[in-house]
Amino acid sequence: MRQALHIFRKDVRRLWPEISIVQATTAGLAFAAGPQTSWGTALSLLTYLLPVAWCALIARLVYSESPAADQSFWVTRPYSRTSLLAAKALFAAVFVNLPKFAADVVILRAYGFPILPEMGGLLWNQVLLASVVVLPVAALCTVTTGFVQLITAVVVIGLATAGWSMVIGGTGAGVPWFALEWTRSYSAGLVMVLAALSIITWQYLRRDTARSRFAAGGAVVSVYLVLAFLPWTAAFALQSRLCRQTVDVSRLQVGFDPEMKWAARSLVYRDGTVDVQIPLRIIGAPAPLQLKAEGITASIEGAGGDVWRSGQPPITLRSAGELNSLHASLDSAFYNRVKDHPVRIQGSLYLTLYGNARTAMLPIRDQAELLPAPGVGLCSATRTGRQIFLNCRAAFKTEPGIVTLDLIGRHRFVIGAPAERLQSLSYPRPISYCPFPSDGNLIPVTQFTQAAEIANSWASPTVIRTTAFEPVAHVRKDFQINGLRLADFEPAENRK
Amino acid sequence: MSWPIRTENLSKTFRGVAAITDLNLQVPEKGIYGLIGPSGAGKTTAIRILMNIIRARSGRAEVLGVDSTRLSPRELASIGYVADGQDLPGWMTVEYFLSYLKPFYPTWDDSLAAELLREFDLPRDRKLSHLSHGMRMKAALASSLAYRPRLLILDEPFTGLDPLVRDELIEGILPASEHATILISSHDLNDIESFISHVGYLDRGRLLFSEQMTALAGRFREIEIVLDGGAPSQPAWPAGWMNIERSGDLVRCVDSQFEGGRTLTEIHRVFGEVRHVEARPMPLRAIFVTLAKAARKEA
Repeated sequence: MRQALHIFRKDVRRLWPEISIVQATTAGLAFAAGPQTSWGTALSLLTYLLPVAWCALIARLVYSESPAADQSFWVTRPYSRTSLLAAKALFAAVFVNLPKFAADVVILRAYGFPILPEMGGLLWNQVLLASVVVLPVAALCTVTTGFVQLITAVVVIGLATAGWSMVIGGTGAGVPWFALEWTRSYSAGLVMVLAALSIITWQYLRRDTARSRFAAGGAVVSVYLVLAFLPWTAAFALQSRLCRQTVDVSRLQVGFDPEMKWAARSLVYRDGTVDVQIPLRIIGAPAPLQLKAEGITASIEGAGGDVWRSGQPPITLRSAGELNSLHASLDSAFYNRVKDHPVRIQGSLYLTLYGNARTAMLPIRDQAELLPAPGVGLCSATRTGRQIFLNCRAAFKTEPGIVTLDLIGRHRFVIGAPAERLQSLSYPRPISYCPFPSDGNLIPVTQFTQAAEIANSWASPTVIRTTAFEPVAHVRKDFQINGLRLADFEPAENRK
Repeated sequence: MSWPIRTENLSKTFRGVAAITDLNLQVPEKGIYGLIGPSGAGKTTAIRILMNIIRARSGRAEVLGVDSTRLSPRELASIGYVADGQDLPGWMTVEYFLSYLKPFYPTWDDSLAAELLREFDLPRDRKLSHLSHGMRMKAALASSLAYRPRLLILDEPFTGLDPLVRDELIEGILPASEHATILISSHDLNDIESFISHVGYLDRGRLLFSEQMTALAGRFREIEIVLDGGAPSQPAWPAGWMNIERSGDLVRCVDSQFEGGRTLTEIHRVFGEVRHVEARPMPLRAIFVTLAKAARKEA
């Protein structure tokens, strides 16, 4: 430990200019991200500058005793490798993690969040900072000898990523998974962190740069493969296991929705593809839970035994309001073989059930007053002329769930009129089912504002009611639909 | 006899090209071993393997009784290593460099460090990056002598130095490493022949010989023979004769296995009666030139 501190003190003495830059940038971010400042441009700049400053500091730190450089003076000195590694880890913790922790605390306080309940998010943010920035950058630096090699490696990885994205983009494997996206990110992140830890440990203890570089290349390829080929259904299965509540879905049924038959489509395109959409009816949801379809897998079997199988969700599902449809892209040869006879459609629908409604009543005032709205964050409802604003802040992550907003008010001209719902608003926000307490954003507070214009003069809303439903279960429901004739769903002009 | 450095069939290739091949090197305790050879002979590669900077492809090396791939801080605290082209932390001043290294070495001697600084005339408060090449080498050497290492490994320490600085370094090395074993590599024998006790000659990765300097000087002679007219025109040359030149009745060669009486017997066996034989001792430089030429001829 004594040697680790000795090396640490040397690094501090050496890197004080870089340390100062990181601290100043972190402090600037904490200030600019506050609610009272109007440093929009500076804040945008700082959100780019800070990661660059971190990377530069980590690179300088590693290169001061580069494990990849054979000629470095320390290689033949009696350094304890574990002390060296400990010194570098201590430095990163003190000058990268700790200041960011302090900045997060300052920002949370500025936005009115109490610190102790947010400790989980604060700590998880540090884990993510270490996993996404410190470890990968440090690992890359341990297998390069200086900034020229580092930048070359970054450019190569960047170009490879761009190329891979283009290739994968064409196959549809990289489509966003929305609330389930975290499973893919965390899987790739886990590969990256394990690889980074192995490379760093191996390089500091063994100095085997050739093998470490090979491992780094392998890790990058593995991350690409995970991002492209992790099955959505596996992610959903993982998500289901993470939900501890048990919900009885035995009465839940999925089938063809005859009332929505008008929405069924078999569209034949000139390029030889056929888009088939089959509207689905979902009944028997356990009350009072709400349902949201997340994805679908299906097969279509023709009378002659021809079978088409869908790819991975979510592109196989089309949702518009209450309407959920199976979306199948068929090739015309298959379609032509099966379209005129009844087909059998078998599949699984993946659903999230929302419940545990929590409400908050937010009085609409002229001055903002922050109140806790469970499942949403800290919210204030304000009025400016005929405009009503709901402004909410969430710390570290937006809680997963469906939120409805209702404007509640009374008739102005009727004495003793009961309060009633005057208007409902949507509350669009990106959500994630990630069970961890932080999304790892650089600024730990996210804000959403919803505005509504008072539609009539005879009633004035005085309260906004927020209702948040949290996901209580993720279930798979198998289904089978028989007897549909796909040709029946062709538009009239196609049939001519 | 113990061997602070010992290698067994050490081999290393770089992208398929052999840098050293089956190197068997033994450096005796408290000896000053000069590893000589032309540039690219494999000296630096061998030394880097000894210091565990790079790994051998096959064979093994022992340094201070430990497999070189397992050199721990304990062994490294007893080894001084200075190499031409070694990266020093340029931002450190000479004084801070020494004070930074001090806690790594239990045997660090402050008074010796101060003496070395004085002797090498090193400016304490100047950054290493602001020093000349010669001064940097002195600083590196001072930092490697101040803890009285048991083993000092110097890889081409005099490359690019003017003779004055070279002499200063030698004068610094010898007293400070009185009880140490020294391995020093050089492509120029002139640099080191005055103080080495043993020498090894490395050429294209192979150790051509390794022996005591006195023995080497004793077994090499430049021979000049004046023939008596009746000598065969294509004789069978004795083993150990090198660089043979014949011009009429005059034959010149280098005998690498000289032994007074035995050499004379060989001469008579080859040429019969001769008019005159002269065996002159050779300067070491001439020995190495001879060896290098012979090695190239063989290749």
